[in-house]
Amino acid sequence: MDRSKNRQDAATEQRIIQLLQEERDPERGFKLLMEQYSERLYWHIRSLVGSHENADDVLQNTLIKVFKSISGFKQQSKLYTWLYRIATNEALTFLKKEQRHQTEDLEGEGKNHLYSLRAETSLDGQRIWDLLQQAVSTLPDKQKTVFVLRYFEEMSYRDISEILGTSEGGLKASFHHALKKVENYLSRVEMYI
Amino acid sequence: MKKKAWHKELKEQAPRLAKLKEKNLRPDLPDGYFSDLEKRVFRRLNEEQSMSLNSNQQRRLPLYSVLQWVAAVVLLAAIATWIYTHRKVENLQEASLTSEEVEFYILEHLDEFDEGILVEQADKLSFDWTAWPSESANPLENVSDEELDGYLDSLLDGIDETTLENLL
Repeated sequence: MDRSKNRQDAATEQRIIQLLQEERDPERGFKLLMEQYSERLYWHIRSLVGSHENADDVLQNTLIKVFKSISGFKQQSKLYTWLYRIATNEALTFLKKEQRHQTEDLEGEGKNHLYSLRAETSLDGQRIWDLLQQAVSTLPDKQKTVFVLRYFEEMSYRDISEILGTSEGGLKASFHHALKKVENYLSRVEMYI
Repeated sequence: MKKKAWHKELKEQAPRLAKLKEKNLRPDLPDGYFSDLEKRVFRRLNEEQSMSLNSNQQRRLPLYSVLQWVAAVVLLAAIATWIYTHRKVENLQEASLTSEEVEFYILEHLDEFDEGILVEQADKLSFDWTAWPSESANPLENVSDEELDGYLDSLLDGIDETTLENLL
């Protein structure tokens, strides 16, 4: 089942690349690419940047960058890992800009968030999401990205390695550290829930 | 199989995270977000393309103004060169006059010479005024045209061509 899906994915990727690199009608290929990958890329970005507004903004930037640079895609990696690499870079760049603008405000927001968690009596989807986002935001960039790709997207270390250009061993260590930190964070917050 | 092993590992390493993973982690999205995304992305692409065209035009403006300045400078230089060359040609034409031509010119334009200058030059050349018919303080006073012409003829005979050229 998985094998046939993989074959199908590979065929779709090839078709998209072919259409995108054809000078006659690259928009057709781009539409197919958006149909195929927008949602996955959105959730990956959203896991990194938090809010829908920010994720929407970064996703659009990512897709525009993909459209502009697809002619330079050499097929040395899978299309989807290339897309994830662009999306990750865009999201991390966005976060850095945000941090520069709001370093002091973020501390205040964190405190307010903890305060609001105490007032909640149950954990619905949105609350769990917010809580995990808060925990993820405390991680360094590398651990943050590995955690998001592995925990939320359940991506293989091989693919993550292709996206981040890091050895699988290094990624496993990063994920282990990230996992511990997030778990600790949750245990500290749990007493307020 | 791999996924099961991964979940088992997760439970052992991070039980809280494993528990949260079983729940629906994804928050709600605005209705029709993904169906609308394509339009918004293409709209932004078009906007960026038109903005990039505008900025290219703006970037060209300084170049155009520089080119205008260069064109103006070249034009001025061309005019200046033409004037300079033209004058040089005239000077060359003057410089290439023969002594006969100069003499002919002097004789033709003798009436245009300032008489005072001629007398002054005569003084410089230590002209013998005793030969002059009048004895008044002003040697040109009470002198008839004929006497003056005769005097000037004798005066001119005493001045060499180079001095006359300098007087022109």
